[in-house]
Amino acid sequence: MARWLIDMAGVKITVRAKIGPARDVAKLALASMRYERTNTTQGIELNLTFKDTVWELTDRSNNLRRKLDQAGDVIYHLTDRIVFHLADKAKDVHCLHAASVAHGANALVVPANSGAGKSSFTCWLVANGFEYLTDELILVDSQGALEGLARPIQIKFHGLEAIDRLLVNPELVQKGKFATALPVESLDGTAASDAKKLALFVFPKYQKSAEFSFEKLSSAEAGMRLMGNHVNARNLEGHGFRAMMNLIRNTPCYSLEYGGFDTLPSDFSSQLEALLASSTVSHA
Amino acid sequence: MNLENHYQKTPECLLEDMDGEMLLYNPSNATTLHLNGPSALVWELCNGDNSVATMIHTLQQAYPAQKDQIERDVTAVIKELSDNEAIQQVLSQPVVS
Repeated sequence: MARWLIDMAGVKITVRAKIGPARDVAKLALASMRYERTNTTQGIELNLTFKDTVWELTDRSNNLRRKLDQAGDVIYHLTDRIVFHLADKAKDVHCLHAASVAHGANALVVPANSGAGKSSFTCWLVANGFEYLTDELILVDSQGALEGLARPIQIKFHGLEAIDRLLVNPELVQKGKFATALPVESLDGTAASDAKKLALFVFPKYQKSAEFSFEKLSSAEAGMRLMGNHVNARNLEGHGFRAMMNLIRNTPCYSLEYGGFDTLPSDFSSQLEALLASSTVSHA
Repeated sequence: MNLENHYQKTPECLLEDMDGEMLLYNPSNATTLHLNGPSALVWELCNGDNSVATMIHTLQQAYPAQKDQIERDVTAVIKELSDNEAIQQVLSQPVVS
């Protein structure tokens, strides 16, 4: 039996898997996350087994049991449970439904609802040399220090075609019926291993046939959009509203609209790198 | 809308000045409202004492050039704030003899 302890923002989650295909998929799911190997379960336990070509994921804390026959779906549901428990229990940090990547010590945070193209855009950023923090959940403290849940990037079926040409090592991709999991190595990318600071917010909107636009947002507009992606507000004093507005006031915020990677300017990743490099954000 | 109704702010709501634009957050339903100039004024006037008619009259006196527009704007803002539970109607107290 293998166990991995994920301890983020004071929330302990143990993933437990039997030796064999269950352990192999759990390792893939957790490969880029910060964890410790452990011999005992601490906190919430997520249990993964494999029998007769089917994986079974159990989360007793929520009476949830799921049978899955594709590795990509196992990775999706296992990491989704971790996201759920962090958002449900974290009390000392702000949990944002957002992707995040970094260049140097400075990070770009991409808050968005499902369907806005967050994960696809993350693939593009990673393929263009940005370090990966997360495609789904970023934890931010009031000083702007970040920690991302670095699961494999999850792409739903309809987004796969656009991602295809970004893949350098397609053999690493784990397919699923519901979602396909892309380890950052499949994009020839790397996961961030050192501390990152919030330096830029980009609110994306993918819309087929949309033309590219990248515009500075007012603090009020950015604040509206950010609160819509704050997933543990109820755990925080005053729902974290004033702290989030302070972060927004001190951080450059942009809206991005695009209709596919072809609509992004050829120097767009350089523009983002320059914005991050020039950031003088102080959240103290 | 009954212009004689009175409204007061929902006490839990939080208001934040974002570089001159106001954001209003209601923790009870996790909604955030962007209050533009007129909306912020109406919000300030929702003190329980002013009727909607009084608010309209006050703003018409302050902005006579927009007199015709103000009633529509005020009632629309009251509806939006009320729909999002950022304000509550003050129910009249029964007269005790």
